[in-house]
Amino acid sequence: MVSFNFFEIKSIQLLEPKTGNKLRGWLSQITHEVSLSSISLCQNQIDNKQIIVYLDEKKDLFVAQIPLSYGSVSKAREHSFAIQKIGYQIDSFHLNHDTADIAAISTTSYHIWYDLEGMWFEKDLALLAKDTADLPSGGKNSRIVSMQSPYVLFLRDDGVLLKEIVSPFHSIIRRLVRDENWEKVLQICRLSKSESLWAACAGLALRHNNLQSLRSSLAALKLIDKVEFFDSLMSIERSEVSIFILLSNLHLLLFTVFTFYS
Amino acid sequence: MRRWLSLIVLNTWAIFILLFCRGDISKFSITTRHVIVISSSCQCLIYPLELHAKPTVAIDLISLPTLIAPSTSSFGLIYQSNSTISIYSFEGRKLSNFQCTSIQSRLLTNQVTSLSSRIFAIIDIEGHKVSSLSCF
Repeated sequence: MVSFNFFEIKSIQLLEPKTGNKLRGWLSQITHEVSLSSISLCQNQIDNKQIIVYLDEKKDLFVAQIPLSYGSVSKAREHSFAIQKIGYQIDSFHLNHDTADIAAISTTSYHIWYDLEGMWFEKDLALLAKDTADLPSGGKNSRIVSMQSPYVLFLRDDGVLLKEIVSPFHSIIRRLVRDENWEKVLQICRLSKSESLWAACAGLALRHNNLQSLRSSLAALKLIDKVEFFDSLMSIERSEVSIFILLSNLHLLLFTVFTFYS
Repeated sequence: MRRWLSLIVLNTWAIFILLFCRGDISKFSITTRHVIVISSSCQCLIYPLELHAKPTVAIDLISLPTLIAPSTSSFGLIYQSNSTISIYSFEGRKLSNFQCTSIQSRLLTNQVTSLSSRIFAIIDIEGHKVSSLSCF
């Protein structure tokens, strides 16, 4: 008896739309062990990096960053596709191109990831910035067609549109952070008492080097060990130089303590 | 006869209807600012979402595309018959035209392709297969 088992590796081919050439050598494709079912490119580039979201046939959801420009060839070789798995048992997903939020449908519930940018900065915090809720009644086998804060629209098989209200505060705090109005950000977070909002605030504070907001957010998330570590760091030296070093290496230090304690 | 397209504004639930006289609607796609409609008479019509009474741009095509891949700054028309992709701007300018063998002989949907201003991505089947042979 002769039997053949065929195993195919699926990949995502990346091309430059202006020329049709492959993106650049090693960046020309993303390989994946499981067959892929859907992909979506985020239309906005964050820090000259393109985000791609893809779902495989095992229903696992992944996000990857594609670097678009480099300083030198040696620096470019350090870049790779930073692929992060963010969800499992996902049936379908929708990417909001303006805010880079992802909404995804699981069997009976839907999830919204608000801090996609933080996935490559501090993944633990970014995964906390996620809301989960039950699908609206009769929303089984539906798909998300639009996600504009504060609404998510589901399209049922029979063509009925279902509107669900989601938190409007995430887009508000992002706008306030752009204006550097951290006081209001903290006020909104205290008002809403939402864990995902505090996690999003912590991620934003970490990326914008705002230590006080970061400490408040970590305390609100009841991450006491991290707050203690943070306080111990702050009490070492109070000169401007040390604060500067602290700011530049804060995400690295926090990452270390996250991995140490988890 | 598919000669009209209804657009529903989700915030206000207002309905706008686009009527076509030159042929049926073959394909359409919607972006954040534009509606792209391909008619059966091989015309690509671009409607701005703010003023959708008249198309601002009409592009004459050689053949009907298999798929429209939209992005915010441009859109791609994918022709499966000759494995080519044409990228157009919303002003009607042809930005590029290239061949891509990955689009041959497979079911093309908007889920397997994605276009942004810098990257065109497509799910591809890699050529190599691992086979195991067992004899009894």
